[in-house]
Amino acid sequence: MNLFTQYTREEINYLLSLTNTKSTIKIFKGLSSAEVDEILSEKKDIKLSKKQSLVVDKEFLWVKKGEIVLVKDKELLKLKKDMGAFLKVKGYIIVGVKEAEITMFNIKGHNELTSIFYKNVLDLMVEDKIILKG
Amino acid sequence: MAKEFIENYFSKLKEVNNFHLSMLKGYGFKKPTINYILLKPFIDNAISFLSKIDDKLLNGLLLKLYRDVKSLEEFYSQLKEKTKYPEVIFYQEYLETIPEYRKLRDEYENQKALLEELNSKIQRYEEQLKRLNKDDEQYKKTNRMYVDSLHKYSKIKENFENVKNRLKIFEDAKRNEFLKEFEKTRDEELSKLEEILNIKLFYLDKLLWDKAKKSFDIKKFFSQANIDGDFSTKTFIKYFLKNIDTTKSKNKEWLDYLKRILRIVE
Repeated sequence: MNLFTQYTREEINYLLSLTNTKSTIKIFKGLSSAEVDEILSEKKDIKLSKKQSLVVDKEFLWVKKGEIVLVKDKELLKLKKDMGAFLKVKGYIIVGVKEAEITMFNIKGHNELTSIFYKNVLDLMVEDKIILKG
Repeated sequence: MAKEFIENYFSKLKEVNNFHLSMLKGYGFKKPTINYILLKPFIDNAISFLSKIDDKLLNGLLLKLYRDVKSLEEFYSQLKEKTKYPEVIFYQEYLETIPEYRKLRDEYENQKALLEELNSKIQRYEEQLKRLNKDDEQYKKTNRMYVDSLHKYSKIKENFENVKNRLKIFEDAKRNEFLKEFEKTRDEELSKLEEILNIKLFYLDKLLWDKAKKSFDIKKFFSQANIDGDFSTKTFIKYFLKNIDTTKSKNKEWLDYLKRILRIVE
């Protein structure tokens, strides 16, 4: 009788994928702060115009339930300090984390910033044992 | 002292619970909204049934999770049975760990043995005296020993009652505190294990149907058997209900169970 069965990361990811239906990550560029405010206040979905390109679309299997991470006007709320230091320098980013969906907005960033930010978020998730696939 | 004993008694269960809960919570495994423990007999049956159709179904991750759930379930049942009567654990295990109690209990046992020994001696003397002539020297000698034994018996008996009393006071003083703490810990930890089993069974069920829907043989079986609906426990319960022979009395219990769990999954 083995009471301590260990599962590999791959096996855990597979099991989690069986109950997660909403699992996208999107990084948007070029949103104005007014648009961001509107999104936050009304909590509505973002519709991409043709000009706003979807930079990354990856699948995530799990994120912290109900948590919203917000960085606005160099003010950092609910984000780890190492990430915060980076973001304070670079500017204006909003990360929404809700149920199985993560949405990140890079308001005044550029491609390089987006990719660094994206990498940092991934590192943060690994640290917090947040599982990702894709 | 009771706390320490109870802590040790449930240490394995706590270790198992912590191991699984940190994995399940840490990775965000979802809690099912229904009680999958009630579905366990059906899931077992479905696995066995589907494995006969596709003998490659139960392997890899499904087999690993199935065995994991089985081990945990066995552990759960054993513990539930073992801890059903805390009073027995109190008397047979806990009190034995207290030196003061052991000393008192040994004294009680010794005195009891002495009394039994003296009692049989007294009975022997009484028998002998009945057979002897009162004028005989042997009668007087036996009578003296008889009186001495009676005297000794009453003295030991007095001491025995005292020890017995002290033993009872000791047990009463410890019992309530022990039972309260034991039952609290048992209920808390067993319900954590139930939670773990429930989540694991939920994922076992999901994984089973995820694999079943990819199996050529099972897909063929579903099609030939005209099973409507998706590949799920709910669909399969309905299929079982449709095909059960209700004229056979041995199926009555199974039929009632299927109806009950169908209401749960619907």
